[in-house]
Amino acid sequence: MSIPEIHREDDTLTVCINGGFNLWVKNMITNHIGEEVQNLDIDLTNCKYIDTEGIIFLYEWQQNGQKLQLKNPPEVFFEMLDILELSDSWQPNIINKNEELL
Amino acid sequence: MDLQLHIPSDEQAINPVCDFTYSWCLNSGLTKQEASKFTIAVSELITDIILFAYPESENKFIDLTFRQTLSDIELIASEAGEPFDPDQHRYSPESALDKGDFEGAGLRIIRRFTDDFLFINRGREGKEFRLQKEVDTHYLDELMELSRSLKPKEPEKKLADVSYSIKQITPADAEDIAKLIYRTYEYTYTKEDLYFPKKIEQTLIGKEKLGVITRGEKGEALGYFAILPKEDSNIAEVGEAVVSPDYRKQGIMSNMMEHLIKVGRSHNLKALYGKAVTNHPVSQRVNHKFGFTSTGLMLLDTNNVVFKGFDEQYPQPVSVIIDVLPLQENKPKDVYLPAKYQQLLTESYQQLGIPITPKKPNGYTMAEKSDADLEINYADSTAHIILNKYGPDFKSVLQEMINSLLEQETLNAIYLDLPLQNEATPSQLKELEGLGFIYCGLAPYFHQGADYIRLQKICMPLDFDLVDVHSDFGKQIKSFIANEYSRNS
Repeated sequence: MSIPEIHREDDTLTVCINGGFNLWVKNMITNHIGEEVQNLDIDLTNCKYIDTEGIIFLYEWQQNGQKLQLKNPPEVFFEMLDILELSDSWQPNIINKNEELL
Repeated sequence: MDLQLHIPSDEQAINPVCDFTYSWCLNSGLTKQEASKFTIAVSELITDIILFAYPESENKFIDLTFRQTLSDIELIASEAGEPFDPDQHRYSPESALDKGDFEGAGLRIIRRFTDDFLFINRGREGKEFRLQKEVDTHYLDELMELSRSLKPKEPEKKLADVSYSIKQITPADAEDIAKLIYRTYEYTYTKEDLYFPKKIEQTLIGKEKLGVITRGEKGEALGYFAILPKEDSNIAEVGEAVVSPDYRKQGIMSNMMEHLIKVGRSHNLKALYGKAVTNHPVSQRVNHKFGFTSTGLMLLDTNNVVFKGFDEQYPQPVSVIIDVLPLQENKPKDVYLPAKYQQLLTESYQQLGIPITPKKPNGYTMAEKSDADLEINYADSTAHIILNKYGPDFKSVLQEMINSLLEQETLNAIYLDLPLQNEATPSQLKELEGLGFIYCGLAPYFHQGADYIRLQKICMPLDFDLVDVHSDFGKQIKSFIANEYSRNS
Protein backbone atom coordinates (compact mmCIF):
# COMPACT_ATOMS: atom_id res chain seq x y z
CA MET A 1 0.00 0.00 0.00
CA SER A 2 1.26 3.47 -0.85
CA ILE A 3 -1.02 5.37 1.52
CA PRO A 4 0.94 7.50 4.02
CA GLU A 5 0.40 6.93 7.74
CA ILE A 6 -0.42 10.20 9.47
CA HIS A 7 -0.73 10.78 13.24
CA ARG A 8 -1.02 13.99 15.24
CA GLU A 9 0.04 14.39 18.83
CA ASP A 10 -0.18 17.86 20.36
CA ASP A 11 1.61 20.22 17.98
CA THR A 12 3.47 17.49 16.10
CA LEU A 13 2.30 15.73 12.98
CA THR A 14 4.10 12.47 12.28
CA VAL A 15 3.96 11.12 8.75
CA CYS A 16 5.31 7.84 7.45
CA ILE A 17 5.59 7.87 3.64
CA ASN A 18 5.15 4.59 1.79
CA GLY A 19 6.17 4.64 -1.88
CA GLY A 20 5.69 8.11 -3.31
CA PHE A 21 5.67 11.64 -1.94
CA ASN A 22 3.75 13.68 -4.50
CA LEU A 23 0.84 16.09 -4.99
CA TRP A 24 -1.72 13.65 -3.60
CA VAL A 25 0.35 12.86 -0.50
CA LYS A 26 1.16 16.53 0.01
CA ASN A 27 -2.54 17.40 -0.05
CA MET A 28 -3.31 14.58 2.40
CA ILE A 29 -0.73 15.95 4.83
CA THR A 30 -2.00 19.51 4.35
CA ASN A 31 -5.51 18.34 5.23
CA HIS A 32 -4.19 17.13 8.62
CA ILE A 33 -2.42 20.35 9.43
CA GLY A 34 -4.39 22.76 11.56
CA GLU A 35 -3.19 25.92 13.25
CA GLU A 36 -1.93 23.92 16.22
CA VAL A 37 0.63 21.88 14.22
CA GLN A 38 4.08 23.42 14.43
CA ASN A 39 6.30 20.37 14.02
CA LEU A 40 6.43 17.98 11.14
CA ASP A 41 8.26 14.66 11.51
CA ILE A 42 8.41 12.79 8.24
CA ASP A 43 9.73 9.26 7.95
CA LEU A 44 10.99 8.71 4.42
CA THR A 45 12.54 5.30 5.07
CA ASN A 46 10.11 3.62 2.66
CA CYS A 47 9.87 6.54 0.23
CA LYS A 48 11.03 5.41 -3.20
CA TYR A 49 10.12 8.50 -5.18
CA ILE A 50 9.66 12.05 -4.05
CA ASP A 51 8.83 14.69 -6.64
CA THR A 52 9.06 18.49 -6.56
CA GLU A 53 5.58 18.81 -5.04
CA GLY A 54 6.94 17.00 -1.99
CA ILE A 55 10.25 18.84 -1.90
CA ILE A 56 8.74 22.30 -2.34
CA PHE A 57 6.17 21.55 0.37
CA LEU A 58 8.94 20.60 2.83
CA TYR A 59 11.08 23.57 1.84
CA GLU A 60 8.25 26.05 2.28
CA TRP A 61 7.21 24.53 5.61
CA GLN A 62 10.65 25.15 7.06
CA GLN A 63 11.03 28.55 5.39
CA ASN A 64 7.85 29.59 7.20
CA GLY A 65 9.65 29.11 10.50
CA GLN A 66 8.08 25.80 11.44
CA LYS A 67 10.05 22.75 12.55
CA LEU A 68 10.78 19.92 10.20
CA GLN A 69 12.51 16.62 10.78
CA LEU A 70 13.16 14.11 8.03
CA LYS A 71 14.08 10.51 8.69
CA ASN A 72 16.12 8.55 6.15
CA PRO A 73 15.44 10.55 3.00
CA PRO A 74 16.33 8.59 -0.14
CA GLU A 75 19.52 9.45 -1.99
CA VAL A 76 17.53 10.95 -4.84
CA PHE A 77 16.17 13.60 -2.43
CA PHE A 78 19.64 15.18 -2.11
CA GLU A 79 20.27 14.88 -5.83
CA MET A 80 17.07 16.81 -6.48
CA LEU A 81 18.09 19.54 -4.06
CA ASP A 82 21.31 19.88 -6.07
CA ILE A 83 19.44 19.99 -9.37
CA LEU A 84 17.09 22.64 -8.04
CA GLU A 85 20.08 24.52 -6.56
CA LEU A 86 18.57 24.49 -3.07
CA SER A 87 21.39 22.62 -1.31
CA ASP A 88 23.33 25.69 -0.26
CA SER A 89 20.40 27.57 1.17
CA TRP A 90 18.41 24.79 2.82
CA GLN A 91 19.71 22.29 5.34
CA PRO A 92 16.77 20.32 6.69
CA ASN A 93 17.13 18.43 9.97
CA ILE A 94 17.81 14.87 9.03
CA ILE A 95 17.94 11.70 11.07
CA ASN A 96 19.87 8.98 9.31
CA LYS A 97 19.50 5.25 9.64
CA ASN A 98 21.44 5.21 12.91
CA GLU A 99 18.94 7.62 14.38
CA GLU A 100 21.66 10.21 14.79
CA LEU A 101 20.77 13.82 14.31
CA LEU A 102 23.00 15.26 11.61
CA MET B 1 5.70 -4.25 -26.28
CA ASP B 2 3.24 -1.49 -25.40
CA LEU B 3 1.17 -1.28 -22.21
CA GLN B 4 -1.55 1.33 -21.97
CA LEU B 5 -3.28 3.08 -19.10
CA HIS B 6 -6.24 5.42 -19.39
CA ILE B 7 -6.27 7.44 -16.16
CA PRO B 8 -8.44 10.26 -14.86
CA SER B 9 -6.80 13.65 -14.55
CA ASP B 10 -6.97 13.38 -10.78
CA GLU B 11 -4.24 13.51 -8.16
CA GLN B 12 -5.46 10.19 -6.73
CA ALA B 13 -4.13 8.52 -9.86
CA ILE B 14 -0.54 9.63 -9.22
CA ASN B 15 0.42 7.01 -6.63
CA PRO B 16 -0.89 3.94 -8.48
CA VAL B 17 0.66 5.13 -11.74
CA CYS B 18 3.99 5.71 -9.99
CA ASP B 19 3.88 2.28 -8.35
CA PHE B 20 3.18 0.72 -11.73
CA THR B 21 5.89 2.78 -13.44
CA TYR B 22 8.51 1.80 -10.87
CA SER B 23 7.73 -1.87 -11.20
CA TRP B 24 7.66 -1.61 -15.02
CA CYS B 25 11.06 0.13 -15.01
CA LEU B 26 12.60 -2.65 -12.93
CA ASN B 27 11.12 -5.27 -15.23
CA SER B 28 12.56 -3.40 -18.21
CA GLY B 29 16.08 -3.68 -16.82
CA LEU B 30 16.61 -0.36 -15.02
CA THR B 31 18.42 -0.39 -11.69
CA LYS B 32 16.41 0.59 -8.59
CA GLN B 33 18.03 4.02 -8.61
CA GLU B 34 17.25 4.62 -12.28
CA ALA B 35 13.72 3.28 -11.82
CA SER B 36 13.14 5.79 -9.00
CA LYS B 37 14.36 8.65 -11.15
CA PHE B 38 12.25 7.71 -14.15
CA THR B 39 9.23 7.30 -11.86
CA ILE B 40 9.83 10.75 -10.40
CA ALA B 41 9.94 12.16 -13.95
CA VAL B 42 6.59 10.48 -14.67
CA SER B 43 5.16 11.81 -11.41
CA GLU B 44 6.26 15.34 -12.37
CA LEU B 45 4.71 15.03 -15.81
CA ILE B 46 1.35 13.73 -14.62
CA THR B 47 1.21 16.37 -11.89
CA ASP B 48 1.86 19.14 -14.42
CA ILE B 49 -0.88 17.81 -16.69
CA ILE B 50 -3.35 17.60 -13.80
CA LEU B 51 -2.52 21.08 -12.54
CA PHE B 52 -1.99 22.98 -15.77
CA ALA B 53 -3.60 21.14 -18.69
CA TYR B 54 -6.87 20.53 -16.84
CA PRO B 55 -6.91 23.18 -14.09
CA GLU B 56 -10.67 23.42 -13.71
CA SER B 57 -12.04 20.44 -15.53
CA GLU B 58 -13.52 17.25 -14.19
CA ASN B 59 -13.92 13.97 -16.03
CA LYS B 60 -10.85 14.51 -18.18
CA PHE B 61 -8.39 11.77 -18.94
CA ILE B 62 -4.74 11.14 -19.69
CA ASP B 63 -3.59 8.27 -21.91
CA LEU B 64 -0.31 6.69 -20.97
CA THR B 65 1.61 4.31 -23.21
CA PHE B 66 4.52 2.42 -21.71
CA ARG B 67 6.78 1.28 -24.55
CA GLN B 68 9.69 -1.02 -23.94
CA THR B 69 12.55 -2.53 -25.88
CA LEU B 70 15.64 -3.98 -24.33
CA SER B 71 17.69 -0.92 -25.25
CA ASP B 72 15.28 1.75 -24.06
CA ILE B 73 11.97 2.55 -22.42
CA GLU B 74 9.53 5.27 -23.39
CA LEU B 75 6.52 6.77 -21.65
CA ILE B 76 4.06 8.60 -23.90
CA ALA B 77 1.47 10.79 -22.18
CA SER B 78 -1.33 12.12 -24.41
CA GLU B 79 -3.90 14.67 -23.34
CA ALA B 80 -6.14 17.29 -24.85
CA GLY B 81 -6.01 20.01 -22.22
CA GLU B 82 -4.99 23.65 -22.38
CA PRO B 83 -2.17 24.59 -24.77
CA PHE B 84 1.24 24.45 -23.21
CA ASP B 85 4.84 25.10 -24.22
CA PRO B 86 7.52 23.64 -21.91
CA ASP B 87 10.09 26.13 -23.21
CA GLN B 88 8.07 28.96 -21.68
CA HIS B 89 8.39 27.48 -18.20
CA ARG B 90 12.09 27.47 -17.40
CA TYR B 91 13.09 27.02 -13.78
CA SER B 92 14.93 29.90 -12.12
CA PRO B 93 16.73 29.09 -8.82
CA GLU B 94 16.88 32.82 -8.04
CA SER B 95 13.10 33.18 -8.34
CA ALA B 96 12.66 30.06 -6.23
CA LEU B 97 14.88 31.35 -3.42
CA ASP B 98 13.89 35.02 -3.55
CA LYS B 99 10.20 34.83 -4.37
CA GLY B 100 9.25 31.23 -3.67
CA ASP B 101 8.42 30.85 -7.36
CA PHE B 102 9.19 27.26 -8.33
CA GLU B 103 7.72 27.38 -11.83
CA GLY B 104 9.47 24.92 -14.13
CA ALA B 105 11.06 22.93 -11.27
CA GLY B 106 9.29 19.74 -12.33
CA LEU B 107 10.33 20.16 -15.95
CA ARG B 108 13.96 20.61 -14.89
CA ILE B 109 13.77 17.36 -12.93
CA ILE B 110 12.18 15.58 -15.91
CA ARG B 111 14.99 16.72 -18.18
CA ARG B 112 17.67 15.57 -15.73
CA PHE B 113 16.08 12.21 -14.92
CA THR B 114 15.44 11.09 -18.51
CA ASP B 115 17.62 10.80 -21.60
CA ASP B 116 15.09 12.51 -23.81
CA PHE B 117 12.05 14.66 -23.10
CA LEU B 118 9.92 15.49 -26.11
CA PHE B 119 6.87 17.65 -26.43
CA ILE B 120 4.79 17.04 -29.54
CA ASN B 121 2.01 19.47 -30.36
CA ARG B 122 -0.66 17.60 -32.32
CA GLY B 123 -2.99 20.53 -32.93
CA ARG B 124 -6.60 19.65 -32.23
CA GLU B 125 -5.57 16.11 -31.44
CA GLY B 126 -3.99 17.48 -28.27
CA LYS B 127 -0.49 17.19 -26.93
CA GLU B 128 1.91 14.41 -26.38
CA PHE B 129 4.85 14.18 -24.00
CA ARG B 130 7.50 11.53 -24.41
CA LEU B 131 9.99 10.53 -21.76
CA GLN B 132 12.74 8.18 -22.90
CA LYS B 133 15.45 6.40 -21.00
CA GLU B 134 18.12 4.11 -22.35
CA VAL B 135 18.58 0.83 -20.58
CA ASP B 136 22.19 0.12 -19.78
CA THR B 137 22.22 -3.45 -20.91
CA HIS B 138 25.51 -4.23 -19.26
CA TYR B 139 23.95 -3.88 -15.82
CA LEU B 140 21.30 -6.46 -16.52
CA ASP B 141 21.13 -9.72 -14.72
CA GLU B 142 21.52 -11.41 -18.07
CA LEU B 143 25.12 -10.20 -18.17
CA MET B 144 26.36 -13.61 -17.22
CA GLU B 145 24.54 -15.14 -20.10
CA LEU B 146 25.99 -12.51 -22.40
CA SER B 147 29.50 -13.31 -21.23
CA ARG B 148 28.93 -16.88 -22.26
CA SER B 149 28.47 -15.68 -25.81
CA LEU B 150 31.70 -13.65 -25.78
CA LYS B 151 34.03 -16.37 -26.92
CA PRO B 152 31.99 -18.72 -29.02
CA LYS B 153 33.65 -21.79 -30.43
CA GLU B 154 33.37 -21.96 -34.18
CA PRO B 155 32.58 -25.42 -35.51
CA GLU B 156 35.77 -27.02 -36.82
CA LYS B 157 34.57 -28.29 -40.18
CA LYS B 158 33.51 -26.21 -43.15
CA LEU B 159 29.95 -26.58 -44.37
CA ALA B 160 31.07 -28.51 -47.42
CA ASP B 161 32.12 -31.30 -45.08
CA VAL B 162 29.05 -31.41 -42.91
CA SER B 163 25.41 -32.03 -43.47
CA TYR B 164 22.95 -29.65 -41.91
CA SER B 165 19.29 -29.40 -41.14
CA ILE B 166 16.88 -26.50 -40.82
CA LYS B 167 14.18 -26.49 -38.16
CA GLN B 168 11.64 -24.08 -36.81
CA ILE B 169 13.06 -22.29 -33.75
CA THR B 170 11.93 -23.08 -30.22
CA PRO B 171 12.71 -21.30 -26.93
CA ALA B 172 15.53 -23.81 -26.35
CA ASP B 173 17.43 -22.29 -29.32
CA ALA B 174 17.70 -18.86 -27.65
CA GLU B 175 21.29 -19.07 -26.46
CA ASP B 176 22.61 -20.33 -29.79
CA ILE B 177 20.85 -17.47 -31.57
CA ALA B 178 22.57 -14.92 -29.29
CA LYS B 179 25.94 -16.51 -30.08
CA LEU B 180 25.30 -16.38 -33.81
CA ILE B 181 24.41 -12.70 -33.60
CA TYR B 182 27.65 -12.01 -31.77
CA ARG B 183 29.74 -13.90 -34.31
CA THR B 184 28.18 -11.89 -37.12
CA TYR B 185 27.87 -8.43 -35.68
CA GLU B 186 29.97 -8.39 -32.47
CA TYR B 187 28.19 -5.66 -30.46
CA THR B 188 27.03 -3.46 -33.30
CA TYR B 189 23.64 -4.99 -34.08
CA THR B 190 20.96 -2.41 -33.38
CA LYS B 191 18.40 -4.91 -32.05
CA GLU B 192 20.11 -5.43 -28.72
CA ASP B 193 17.47 -7.92 -27.61
CA LEU B 194 19.29 -10.45 -29.71
CA TYR B 195 22.30 -10.52 -27.42
CA PHE B 196 20.18 -11.80 -24.56
CA PRO B 197 19.04 -15.41 -24.59
CA LYS B 198 16.32 -14.73 -22.03
CA LYS B 199 14.82 -11.95 -24.12
CA ILE B 200 14.88 -14.14 -27.22
CA GLU B 201 13.26 -16.92 -25.23
CA GLN B 202 10.49 -14.57 -24.07
CA THR B 203 9.71 -13.43 -27.62
CA LEU B 204 9.55 -17.03 -28.80
CA ILE B 205 7.30 -18.10 -25.95
CA GLY B 206 5.07 -15.10 -26.64
CA LYS B 207 5.08 -15.91 -30.39
CA GLU B 208 6.33 -12.40 -31.15
CA LYS B 209 8.60 -14.01 -33.68
CA LEU B 210 8.79 -17.17 -35.71
CA GLY B 211 11.83 -18.44 -37.50
CA VAL B 212 14.25 -21.16 -38.40
CA ILE B 213 17.64 -22.27 -37.20
CA THR B 214 20.24 -24.22 -39.15
CA ARG B 215 22.30 -26.81 -37.28
CA GLY B 216 25.28 -28.89 -38.35
CA GLU B 217 25.55 -32.62 -37.92
CA LYS B 218 26.71 -32.29 -34.30
CA GLY B 219 23.91 -29.90 -33.50
CA GLU B 220 26.04 -26.75 -33.70
CA ALA B 221 24.13 -23.62 -34.78
CA LEU B 222 25.16 -22.28 -38.20
CA GLY B 223 22.39 -19.88 -39.12
CA TYR B 224 19.21 -18.19 -37.98
CA PHE B 225 16.47 -16.32 -39.82
CA ALA B 226 13.25 -14.92 -38.33
CA ILE B 227 9.89 -13.59 -39.37
CA LEU B 228 8.49 -10.90 -37.13
CA PRO B 229 4.69 -10.56 -37.36
CA LYS B 230 3.63 -6.93 -37.64
CA GLU B 231 1.41 -5.86 -34.75
CA ASP B 232 -1.09 -3.83 -36.81
CA SER B 233 -1.43 -6.03 -39.88
CA ASN B 234 -1.41 -9.63 -41.07
CA ILE B 235 2.04 -9.44 -42.61
CA ALA B 236 5.50 -10.13 -41.22
CA GLU B 237 9.02 -8.86 -41.69
CA VAL B 238 11.81 -11.24 -42.55
CA GLY B 239 14.88 -10.22 -40.65
CA GLU B 240 17.53 -10.94 -38.08
CA ALA B 241 19.29 -13.08 -40.69
CA VAL B 242 22.63 -14.48 -39.62
CA VAL B 243 24.94 -17.14 -40.91
CA SER B 244 28.10 -17.96 -39.00
CA PRO B 245 30.97 -16.24 -40.93
CA ASP B 246 32.81 -19.45 -41.91
CA TYR B 247 29.66 -20.88 -43.42
CA ARG B 248 28.68 -18.09 -45.76
CA LYS B 249 28.30 -18.54 -49.53
CA GLN B 250 27.11 -22.10 -48.96
CA GLY B 251 23.41 -21.54 -49.61
CA ILE B 252 22.32 -21.61 -45.96
CA MET B 253 20.60 -18.22 -46.17
CA SER B 254 18.64 -19.28 -49.25
CA ASN B 255 17.56 -22.54 -47.69
CA MET B 256 16.39 -20.77 -44.57
CA MET B 257 14.43 -18.26 -46.66
CA GLU B 258 12.68 -21.13 -48.42
CA HIS B 259 11.62 -22.50 -45.04
CA LEU B 260 10.49 -19.08 -43.84
CA ILE B 261 8.19 -18.64 -46.81
CA LYS B 262 6.60 -21.99 -45.98
CA VAL B 263 6.17 -20.89 -42.36
CA GLY B 264 4.58 -17.64 -43.55
CA ARG B 265 2.11 -19.47 -45.79
CA SER B 266 1.24 -21.93 -43.04
CA HIS B 267 0.35 -18.98 -40.80
CA ASN B 268 -1.90 -17.49 -43.53
CA LEU B 269 0.10 -14.27 -43.73
CA LYS B 270 -0.91 -11.90 -46.56
CA ALA B 271 2.72 -11.08 -47.34
CA LEU B 272 6.29 -11.10 -46.15
CA TYR B 273 8.49 -8.07 -46.42
CA GLY B 274 12.13 -7.36 -45.80
CA LYS B 275 14.12 -4.22 -45.16
CA ALA B 276 17.33 -5.07 -46.99
CA VAL B 277 20.35 -2.90 -46.27
CA THR B 278 21.98 -1.09 -49.20
CA ASN B 279 25.58 -0.92 -47.99
CA HIS B 280 25.94 -4.35 -49.59
CA PRO B 281 23.59 -6.24 -51.92
CA VAL B 282 23.62 -9.71 -50.31
CA SER B 283 20.25 -9.54 -48.53
CA GLN B 284 18.62 -7.94 -51.57
CA ARG B 285 19.90 -10.75 -53.79
CA VAL B 286 18.51 -13.40 -51.46
CA ASN B 287 15.14 -11.61 -51.35
CA HIS B 288 14.91 -11.40 -55.14
CA LYS B 289 15.95 -14.96 -55.64
CA PHE B 290 12.78 -15.89 -53.77
CA GLY B 291 10.44 -13.63 -55.68
CA PHE B 292 10.42 -10.54 -53.49
CA THR B 293 9.76 -7.26 -55.31
CA SER B 294 11.37 -3.96 -54.35
CA THR B 295 8.64 -1.44 -53.63
CA GLY B 296 10.44 1.35 -51.82
CA LEU B 297 13.70 2.86 -50.68
CA MET B 298 13.84 4.20 -47.12
CA LEU B 299 16.74 6.60 -47.04
CA LEU B 300 18.94 6.78 -43.91
CA ASP B 301 16.72 4.30 -42.08
CA THR B 302 19.23 2.73 -39.74
CA ASN B 303 22.46 3.81 -38.10
CA ASN B 304 25.52 2.06 -39.35
CA VAL B 305 25.80 -1.61 -38.60
CA VAL B 306 29.20 -3.30 -38.80
CA PHE B 307 29.07 -6.71 -40.42
CA LYS B 308 32.04 -8.95 -39.92
CA GLY B 309 33.35 -9.87 -43.33
CA PHE B 310 31.59 -7.01 -45.12
CA ASP B 311 32.50 -3.36 -45.57
CA GLU B 312 33.21 -2.10 -42.11
CA GLN B 313 33.31 1.61 -42.86
CA TYR B 314 30.19 3.29 -44.14
CA PRO B 315 29.99 7.06 -43.78
CA GLN B 316 26.24 7.60 -43.49
CA PRO B 317 23.22 5.89 -41.95
CA VAL B 318 22.21 2.88 -44.02
CA SER B 319 19.25 3.17 -46.38
CA VAL B 320 17.08 0.10 -46.83
CA ILE B 321 15.11 -1.33 -49.71
CA ILE B 322 11.59 -2.51 -48.91
CA ASP B 323 11.16 -5.92 -50.56
CA VAL B 324 7.69 -7.49 -50.55
CA LEU B 325 6.48 -11.02 -51.30
CA PRO B 326 2.68 -11.48 -51.43
CA LEU B 327 1.70 -14.92 -50.15
CA GLN B 328 -1.95 -15.04 -51.16
CA GLU B 329 -4.02 -14.53 -54.27
CA ASN B 330 -5.63 -11.10 -54.31
CA LYS B 331 -8.90 -9.78 -55.66
CA PRO B 332 -8.69 -6.37 -57.40
CA LYS B 333 -8.94 -3.53 -54.92
CA ASP B 334 -9.88 0.11 -55.37
CA VAL B 335 -7.04 2.54 -54.81
CA TYR B 336 -6.72 6.32 -55.12
CA LEU B 337 -3.30 7.03 -56.53
CA PRO B 338 -1.82 10.54 -56.32
CA ALA B 339 -1.13 11.76 -59.88
CA LYS B 340 2.46 12.64 -59.07
CA TYR B 341 3.34 9.04 -58.20
CA GLN B 342 0.68 7.18 -60.16
CA GLN B 343 3.03 5.61 -62.71
CA LEU B 344 5.52 4.27 -60.17
CA LEU B 345 2.81 3.01 -57.83
CA THR B 346 0.97 1.29 -60.68
CA GLU B 347 4.17 -0.40 -61.80
CA SER B 348 4.90 -1.47 -58.21
CA TYR B 349 1.50 -3.16 -58.02
CA GLN B 350 2.14 -4.84 -61.36
CA GLN B 351 5.53 -6.11 -60.26
CA LEU B 352 3.93 -7.50 -57.10
CA GLY B 353 1.11 -9.14 -59.02
CA ILE B 354 -1.49 -7.35 -56.90
CA PRO B 355 -4.47 -6.37 -59.07
CA ILE B 356 -5.84 -2.88 -58.53
CA THR B 357 -8.60 -0.69 -59.85
CA PRO B 358 -7.39 2.92 -59.80
CA LYS B 359 -10.28 5.21 -58.92
CA LYS B 360 -10.84 8.92 -59.15
CA PRO B 361 -11.99 10.52 -55.88
CA ASN B 362 -15.66 11.26 -55.97
CA GLY B 363 -15.97 13.55 -52.96
CA TYR B 364 -15.14 12.47 -49.46
CA THR B 365 -16.02 13.30 -45.89
CA MET B 366 -13.26 14.16 -43.51
CA ALA B 367 -13.12 13.18 -39.86
CA GLU B 368 -13.71 15.94 -37.34
CA LYS B 369 -10.00 15.97 -36.63
CA SER B 370 -6.94 14.20 -37.93
CA ASP B 371 -5.67 11.06 -36.28
CA ALA B 372 -2.07 9.98 -36.70
CA ASP B 373 0.28 7.64 -34.85
CA LEU B 374 3.87 8.63 -34.21
CA GLU B 375 6.70 6.19 -33.63
CA ILE B 376 10.17 7.42 -32.76
CA ASN B 377 13.17 5.15 -33.19
CA TYR B 378 15.71 6.74 -30.85
CA ALA B 379 18.49 4.26 -31.72
CA ASP B 380 18.21 4.95 -35.45
CA SER B 381 17.26 8.64 -35.11
CA THR B 382 14.14 8.33 -37.25
CA ALA B 383 10.45 9.07 -36.77
CA HIS B 384 7.50 7.45 -38.49
CA ILE B 385 4.04 9.00 -38.78
CA ILE B 386 1.11 6.82 -39.81
CA LEU B 387 -2.04 8.63 -40.86
CA ASN B 388 -5.23 6.96 -39.71
CA LYS B 389 -7.80 9.66 -40.50
CA TYR B 390 -7.74 12.96 -42.38
CA GLY B 391 -9.30 15.97 -40.72
CA PRO B 392 -9.43 19.56 -41.94
CA ASP B 393 -6.39 20.22 -39.74
CA PHE B 394 -4.22 17.56 -41.44
CA LYS B 395 -1.50 19.84 -42.76
CA SER B 396 -1.27 21.98 -39.64
CA VAL B 397 -1.17 18.92 -37.34
CA LEU B 398 1.56 17.38 -39.47
CA GLN B 399 3.49 20.63 -39.58
CA GLU B 400 3.25 20.97 -35.78
CA MET B 401 4.43 17.42 -35.25
CA ILE B 402 7.40 17.87 -37.59
CA ASN B 403 8.35 21.19 -36.02
CA SER B 404 8.16 19.67 -32.54
CA LEU B 405 10.33 16.76 -33.61
CA LEU B 406 12.96 18.79 -35.43
CA GLU B 407 13.22 21.41 -32.69
CA GLN B 408 13.98 18.79 -30.06
CA GLU B 409 15.59 15.84 -31.84
CA THR B 410 18.43 15.37 -34.31
CA LEU B 411 16.72 13.10 -36.79
CA ASN B 412 18.09 11.49 -39.93
CA ALA B 413 14.70 11.02 -41.57
CA ILE B 414 10.94 11.23 -41.01
CA TYR B 415 8.68 8.75 -42.81
CA LEU B 416 5.00 9.33 -43.46
CA ASP B 417 2.45 6.66 -44.45
CA LEU B 418 -0.78 7.75 -46.18
CA PRO B 419 -3.61 5.30 -46.98
CA LEU B 420 -4.07 4.59 -50.69
CA GLN B 421 -7.57 3.21 -50.18
CA ASN B 422 -8.70 6.57 -48.79
CA GLU B 423 -10.27 8.92 -51.33
CA ALA B 424 -8.75 11.95 -49.65
CA THR B 425 -5.13 10.94 -50.18
CA PRO B 426 -4.55 12.39 -53.69
CA SER B 427 -5.73 15.86 -52.70
CA GLN B 428 -4.25 15.78 -49.19
CA LEU B 429 -0.87 14.79 -50.56
CA LYS B 430 -0.89 17.95 -52.65
CA GLU B 431 -1.37 19.89 -49.41
CA LEU B 432 2.01 18.65 -48.25
CA GLU B 433 3.89 20.80 -50.76
CA GLY B 434 6.55 22.74 -48.96
CA LEU B 435 6.96 20.30 -46.07
CA GLY B 436 9.89 18.60 -47.80
CA PHE B 437 8.46 15.13 -48.27
CA ILE B 438 9.53 13.04 -51.27
CA TYR B 439 8.57 9.59 -52.49
CA CYS B 440 9.68 6.52 -50.58
CA GLY B 441 7.56 3.70 -51.94
CA LEU B 442 4.54 1.45 -51.78
CA ALA B 443 3.79 -0.25 -48.48
CA PRO B 444 1.16 -2.89 -49.32
CA TYR B 445 -0.96 -4.33 -46.47
CA PHE B 446 1.22 -2.41 -43.99
CA HIS B 447 -1.44 -1.13 -41.58
CA GLN B 448 -4.74 -2.84 -40.78
CA GLY B 449 -4.42 -4.84 -44.00
CA ALA B 450 -4.57 -1.70 -46.16
CA ASP B 451 -2.06 -0.29 -48.66
CA TYR B 452 -0.12 2.89 -47.97
CA ILE B 453 2.12 5.22 -49.90
CA ARG B 454 5.23 5.94 -47.87
CA LEU B 455 6.85 9.37 -48.14
CA GLN B 456 10.06 10.54 -46.54
CA LYS B 457 11.66 13.74 -45.38
CA ILE B 458 15.45 13.64 -45.31
CA CYS B 459 17.00 15.67 -42.52
CA MET B 460 20.74 15.31 -43.16
CA PRO B 461 23.09 15.32 -46.17
CA LEU B 462 22.99 12.13 -48.18
CA ASP B 463 25.24 10.59 -50.86
CA PHE B 464 23.06 8.54 -53.24
CA ASP B 465 26.14 6.93 -54.81
CA LEU B 466 26.63 4.96 -51.60
CA VAL B 467 23.16 3.42 -51.84
CA ASP B 468 23.70 0.05 -53.52
CA VAL B 469 20.46 -1.24 -55.05
CA HIS B 470 20.38 -4.67 -56.67
CA SER B 471 17.21 -5.11 -58.74
CA ASP B 472 16.31 -3.24 -61.91
CA PHE B 473 13.02 -2.01 -60.48
CA GLY B 474 14.77 -1.03 -57.26
CA LYS B 475 17.18 1.03 -59.34
CA GLN B 476 14.23 2.69 -61.05
CA ILE B 477 12.77 3.63 -57.65
CA LYS B 478 16.13 4.91 -56.48
CA SER B 479 16.53 7.04 -59.60
CA PHE B 480 13.03 8.51 -59.20
CA ILE B 481 13.70 9.36 -55.55
CA ALA B 482 17.14 10.81 -56.30
CA ASN B 483 15.63 13.11 -58.93
CA GLU B 484 12.88 14.29 -56.62
CA TYR B 485 15.38 14.78 -53.79
CA SER B 486 17.61 16.80 -56.09
CA ARG B 487 14.70 18.97 -57.26
CA ASN B 488 13.56 19.54 -53.67
CA SER B 489 16.96 20.51 -52.40
